Order: sequence, then C-alpha cells, then structure tokens
Amino acid sequence: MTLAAAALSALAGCGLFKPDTPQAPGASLPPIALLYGTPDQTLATFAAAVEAKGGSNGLTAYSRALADSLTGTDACEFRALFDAVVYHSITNPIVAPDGWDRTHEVPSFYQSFARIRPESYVFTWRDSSAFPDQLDATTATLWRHYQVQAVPTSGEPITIAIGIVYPLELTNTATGWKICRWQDNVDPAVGPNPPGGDALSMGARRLLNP
Amino acid sequence: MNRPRRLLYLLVPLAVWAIAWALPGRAQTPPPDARFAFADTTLLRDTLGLRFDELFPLADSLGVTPDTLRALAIRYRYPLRRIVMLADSMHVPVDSVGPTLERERFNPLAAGKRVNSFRYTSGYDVEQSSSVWTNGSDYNFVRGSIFVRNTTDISQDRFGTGGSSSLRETRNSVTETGWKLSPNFSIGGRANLERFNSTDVGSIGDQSETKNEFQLSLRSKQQPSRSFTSELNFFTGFLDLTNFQQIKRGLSNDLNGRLRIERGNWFTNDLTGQVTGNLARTGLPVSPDRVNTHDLSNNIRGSLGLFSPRPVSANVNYQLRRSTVENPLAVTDTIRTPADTTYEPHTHVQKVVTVNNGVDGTLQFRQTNDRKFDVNAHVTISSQDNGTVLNGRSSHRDTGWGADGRYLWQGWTGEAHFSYGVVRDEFPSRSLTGGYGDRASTASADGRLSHGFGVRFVLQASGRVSLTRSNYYLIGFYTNPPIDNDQYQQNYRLEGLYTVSDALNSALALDVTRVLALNLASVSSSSNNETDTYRAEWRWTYRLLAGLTATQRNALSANYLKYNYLASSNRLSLDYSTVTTLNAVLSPRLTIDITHNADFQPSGSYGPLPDGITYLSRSDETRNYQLRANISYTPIPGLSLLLSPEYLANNRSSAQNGVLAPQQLGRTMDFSGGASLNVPVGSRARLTGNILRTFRDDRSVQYSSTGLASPSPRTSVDFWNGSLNLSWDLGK
Repeated sequence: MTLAAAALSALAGCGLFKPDTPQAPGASLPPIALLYGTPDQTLATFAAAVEAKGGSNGLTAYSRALADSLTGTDACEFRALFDAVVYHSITNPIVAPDGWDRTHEVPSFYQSFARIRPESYVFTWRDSSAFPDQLDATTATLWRHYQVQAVPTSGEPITIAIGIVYPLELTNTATGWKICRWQDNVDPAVGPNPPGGDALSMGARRLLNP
Repeated sequence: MNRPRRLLYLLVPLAVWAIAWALPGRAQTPPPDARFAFADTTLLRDTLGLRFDELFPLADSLGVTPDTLRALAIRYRYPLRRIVMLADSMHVPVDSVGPTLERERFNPLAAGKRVNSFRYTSGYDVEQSSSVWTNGSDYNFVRGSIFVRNTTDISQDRFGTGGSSSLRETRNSVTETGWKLSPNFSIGGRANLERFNSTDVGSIGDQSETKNEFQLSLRSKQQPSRSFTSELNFFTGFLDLTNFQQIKRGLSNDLNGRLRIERGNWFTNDLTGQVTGNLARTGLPVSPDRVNTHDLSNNIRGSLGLFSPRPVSANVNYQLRRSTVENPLAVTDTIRTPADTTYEPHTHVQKVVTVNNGVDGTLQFRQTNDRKFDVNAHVTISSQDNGTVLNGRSSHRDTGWGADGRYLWQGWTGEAHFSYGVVRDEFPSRSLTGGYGDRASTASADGRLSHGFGVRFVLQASGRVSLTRSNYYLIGFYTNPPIDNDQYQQNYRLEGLYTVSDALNSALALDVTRVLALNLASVSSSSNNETDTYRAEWRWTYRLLAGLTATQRNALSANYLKYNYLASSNRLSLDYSTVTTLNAVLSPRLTIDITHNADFQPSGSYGPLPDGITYLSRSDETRNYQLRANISYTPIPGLSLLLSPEYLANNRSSAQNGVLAPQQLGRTMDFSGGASLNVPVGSRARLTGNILRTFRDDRSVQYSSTGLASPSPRTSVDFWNGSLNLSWDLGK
C-alpha cells in the first residue's frame, strides 16, 4: 500500500496530470474600448468584438452588447429571430423559430463564428436613409445592413456573413444601450443560397455554426 | 360513482391477500465479497431458469464485463461454469466458445463416420416500420469417406417510411462435397453462390449483386506430436462477380489455417492465418473495357502464452492484416491537338489499401486472485488509402502502457490502475492542398479501497484522475485545423452499504467531479471552462413481504459550469431524481414490477446580482415523470403473457423576459401486450421469441414567447413488434 501511495505521489509530481497553462484570450491584441453610450457606439463595440475573434476582451465586449434581464437589470432579454426562408431551409434546426437567446449566443456562437475562417475579420454596418432610426430615451429601433469579411494576406476578401437586421431593437440600460431583438433578414441582393456558400446571413450562421 | 367502479374496491383486499401469500422473490443472493458489494445485482436476477452464481468473480478473473458473461450464458443456455470449462478445453476466449462449436460442427475432418443431419430455421422480426424474414438451412451428410455439406441463408428486409417502401433480399448458399482420402485429408469441390437485390420505391435505380465462386477444396489437419496441432485448407477456382459498380471475372484463391503449439505448462501459441486473393479481368457495367486487377488480403492473428498457471506469467496477442482491393474507375483523357480537342473515356484501376497491425502484451504477477500485479503495453498501427484525392488517406498509431494492481490485506482490498497512451492520427488530404495531424496523449490513474466492517457495513472509497492533451499540426497547407486543447478530469467517491438484515439494506454515496476544458491558444481560450459536479445518492431495498420488495434510489446533483473569462455566462443546473420500484412475485407464475420515476431539473445563470450575492437565475426548468409496470403471467411452461403500460409526462419551462413560463408540455401513453414463447413443436422443432402489440398515444403543447399555446394534434400509433424463431432439426 505504501508502495502504491509512493507511486501515485511520483506520478502526480511529474506533471502527467497537470494541464498546460492556456494563453489569455487575445493576449496579443489591444483591448476594445467598452463604449455603449449610444446605439451606434454599441454596434461599433459589437463589430470590434467580432473582429477580435475571441481575442483581447472581445468576448466581454460582445456579451455586454446583449441585453440581460436574468442576471442583470435590463428591461428585456436578447433574442435573435431568423429569416423564415432561412429557418425553413435548415433540416432539424436546433432551436424553435423564436428560441435563440443569450445562452446560445455567448460564448458558443461567438466562438464558433470566430473559427469559420482563419483570416482576420472586418465587420461593416451600413444604414439607409429609407429607414431612419427611431430613437427615444429608452428604446431604439434601427435598420442596419451588415457584412463580415475574412481578409486573407493576399487575394480578395471573402464574405462570410451578410444580411439586414430589421428591426434591430436596443434598450437603454443603467450600463448603456443593449441589443434586445435581432430580426435577421436575407440580403435580397445575395439571396438565401449564395453562390459558393460563404455569404450567408447571421441567422443561417447561427443555425449552421451554433 | 357507478356500480362497476365501486366493485373495484372489492379487489383491494383481494390484492393485499394475494401479496401477503406470495412467494419469496427470485433474485439470487449477491456475492458476499466486499469488492463486489456495490455491483449491479440486477444482473443476478434469473431469466429463463438460468442461474448466474459467481458471475462477478468469474467475469473479473476472465477479464470480461459481467453483462457480457451473462449474455453468453443466456445465448447458449449454459451455466457459467460450463462456459468457462468449454473455453479452457477448447483453448479459446470465453466469447469464442459458440462460434468455435459451430465451426467444428461443419468441419468434415472433425465429423463422425455416419452423419445425416438437417436443420431449418425461420425467423420473423417485426418493428414499427421494418420487418426482417430470415430462412436458413444446414445440411450435413457423411457416409464413410464421402461428405456433403450445404448452408443456405435467405434474408428479406422490408422498410417502410412515409408511404414508400424498400426491400432488400440477400441469398447465400455454400455447398461443399468431397472425399476424405484419410482421416486428416480431404479433397472436393465448393460452390459459393451469393445474391443481393435492393428495390426502393421512388429510387432511380435498383441495385443488385451476383457472385458465383466454384472452387476446388483441399482440407487437411496435422498432428506430428501431442504438442503440435494444425489445420491447413486451400480453395481455388473461378470467380464471377457482377454488381452496379463492377464486373469481375477470374481466378480466386483462399489459403487458411490454424496452428497450436503447446510445450508442457509453460508455453502455448495459437496462430490463425488467411490469405485470399484473385486475378481477374474487371470492368464497369456500362463499359466494354476490361482491365487486369489483383486483389490480395492477408490476416494473421496469434496469441502467445508463457507460464500461464504460474505466479509469474505473460501473454502476447498479435495481428498482421493487409488488404489490397483494385476497383475499376471511369476516367476521361483530354487529347489536344493543334486542330482539335477530343475526350477519350477509358477504365482506370483504383487501388484501396488497408493496413492494420498490432501487438499487445501483459506480464502478470499473481499470488492469488486478490493479490496480483499486471504490466501491459500495446502498439497498433493502421492506415487506409482509398485512392481518392480528397480525404483518401489517413493513418492511426496508438501506443501505450499501463499497470494494474490489487491487494487484499486484513479485510482491506486495494486496487489501482494506471495507463498512459499516445494516439497519433494523420489526415494529409483533408483538402486539395493538405490536411492536419493530431497527437493526443492520455494519462489516467484510478484507485479504490474497500473494507467490510463486520458483516453489516461495507465502505468503499475511490478516486480517478485523467488528462488528455490534444495537439494539432499542419500537413502541407490547410486553413482550419482544430485548436490545441487539454481535457482534465478528477473524481472522488465515497460510499457505504449498511445491511440491517436480509430484508433491508441501504447505501449512501457522495461523489465529487471536476472537469476542465481548456483551449490553449488565445484565439479560443475565452471559452475555457470548469464544471464542478457534486452528487449525493441514497438508495434502500426493503422486502416488505415475502414476495414484495421495494427499492428506492434518490439522487441529488449540482453542476456548476464556470467560464474562466466570462463569469456572466456561468451556469448552474440542479437535478433531483427519485426512482421507486416495487417487485412482486405473487405466485411462481405471476410477477409484477412497478416503477415510478420523478425528475426535476432547474437550471440557469449563476452569478452575483446587483446586491452582490450569488444567485441561481432560473432560465430553464424541466419536470419529468414516468410510471411503468411490467406484468408477466406464465399459464403453462414455455408461454408467458406480458403487459407493459407506461405513462410519461414532460414539462419544460423557460425564461421569457426574466420570468419562467411554460415552453413545452408533453404526455405519452405506451401500452404493450403480447406473449413470449419457448415451446416445442412436435418432437424435433422449437418455436421461440415474443410477439407484442404496442399502442402509443402522444400529445404536446408548445408555447410561444408571448405565452400563446399551440397544442399539437394527438398522434396515435399501434403496431406489431417482436421476433419469432422456428428451428427444426432432423437426423443425427
């Protein structure tokens, strides 16, 4: 018995059961400024978090851009809704049409979206004068076109997400503006089945890369 | 209350009377050894009149799981001791006893001088959307030096889904006839005919395969000395294969044999080997082109034992296997001239190479079965190349070693296991430009200490720790390799069993598990997390009356999921479950088992709220209930009537704007009734199996985020399911 105890002590001491120390998230990237003072600041912080791909404080920046009524005091809870054409084109979707919430979004979808391509990402928001922002003291309803491109060191950028969010609802909380509702729509110029299969909507990415 | 319902109350005292006069339960006595005190004693319950005494010690000494040994005993209807004795006398592992007996039954060199036997079996398995009808016959005729053998199997599989149906028919027949020129040598001919047809309604093309092999057969066995026995068989002849992928015609060969060398009590070596191959002209069904193909497969397996019954012994198992198959492939050459470009189709040979080699060895030091120490090591190398450019090649290499020990000292039993292994996989053609490889090393150690305090109390403490490190590297250029990660797990468990009397015992267990999932690179380390699980179990068994036993198992567990870099996503899930079982043996012919299962699982975010105190913010809650009964009545030997009603209720709620609200309700009622048969038909046939009619009613209600209920229409299905098998033996 003493021999067995000595053997186990030796095994424990030689590092066989000691996990490696992981690198801190985004150790080589500058920190993202956590600005949520206006709806556009929130969207810019959200875009910077996607571009950080999990590095630096990207996950924190992404998470704080989403409303949280369960552990926080926000008035609503983040929920992402899908384009009906996209949702019904997926075989056995993992959630109900209105079932995608904050627990699906962070950290799993945020991480899996970062791994779609190894190149750096560029996230672009675009608004439209045809759909002006509706803004009051506590809520904002926006129309936004989004595009995420993976940029290789040589060659053309590859669009990995493109679409329209409308309505994109934000709520003004004690810690800034937070995204409450993301109604995803396919960009009509691209369609639900883009050539090459890369330029999908965020809703399709959520269902395909959960 | 109407009159018939009032009359039901009269049945209550009748049922109490029946239970009070019931016979003792038929569960067999669990083994007294403290080491097996916490084993799954439900495996010891008798089935079909078989007993499983010594199941746990025998399984432990043979190195197989108790349920495997139990399954073998049921399959061959042999007591455990008899299976072990047969395995010892035939020098085969315990799970090879059945196949070895079957093989020798049809070996002409092992048959007697006068045999004329015929066995016919027919089976029908039916499930909700499929059925399988099998028919088979074995004929064996030996008269002096002449022998004839035939084995024929026909299988019809029907599948039906959504109004479409498909049929698969498989027919195989092997006929061999010949002359025994001496007790150790025979010559003859063998015809191997195989047919396959697949018909799908709505499918573009049906599929079929026809294979005919006509071969000269040579069988021999040798025994130059008492310590040396061998068999050598050779088959050669004509092969004709046609299916939807290829047409292959040529010469086929099969050389196989086995060898056993035994020297006293210190050395045994069992070796089996087979080399098969063919030389053929092969082409595509749609093309007149034919090309030469050569298929070759060799497989050598052996087991070497040294000093088997001694205190120090060793055994080594080895396998060398390589297979090369050449298939036709349609390719099109592009021929460009200054004047024109033409395309010329032709048939190309695609080679599929599979290699699987391995060796493992164990050095054993054994004083008794309770005081022993083993050291083991293994190496396995396999690879595949199917000739395709994308994903065509892969390789796998697994090396490792380990040590096991057990020691019994003054009533304390200590056991410890350690293993360390490295697995290296390579996928060099995941894309057109390259792929990746991975190296995963796993170290694992566990230990267990158990002790019986008197005859009433057994205490057991166990612990386990393991770490798997996965590192990935690029082969060529590949854009998306997996990320290096470590998976760490440790577990501690303390459990005690207190036996108050023969009628009452109770056990309590406490279990703590810690799991770390760590991505090492900064790009994904933000999702690193730790799961801590705390679990308590309490179970008791009480024989309320002579034939009525109640068992209850209560479990309470808490799973804390903690993210290292995202505390706001931390989650807590709780689980409370209670399973209560009543086993009643009302008479030797009537048994009733009733099980109730209740499960409550709240879960949600776990973290500090604005007041600074850490709370569980429930976002999901599941309540599941199940009530099941199994009633078995045996009016006559060989016939049992079965009834199994089951009711399931599932309720799930989720957070809507911070408040729990119903998300889904489900109710299911299952009812199965039927009969189980094991009856003779005439003097030479037997009908076995069971046939059941199952009714199922199901209904659910889904709630939208606004609380709007949308009930689903009630679905009802009823179908026959079961399996019946008729076997008929004629002759001797």
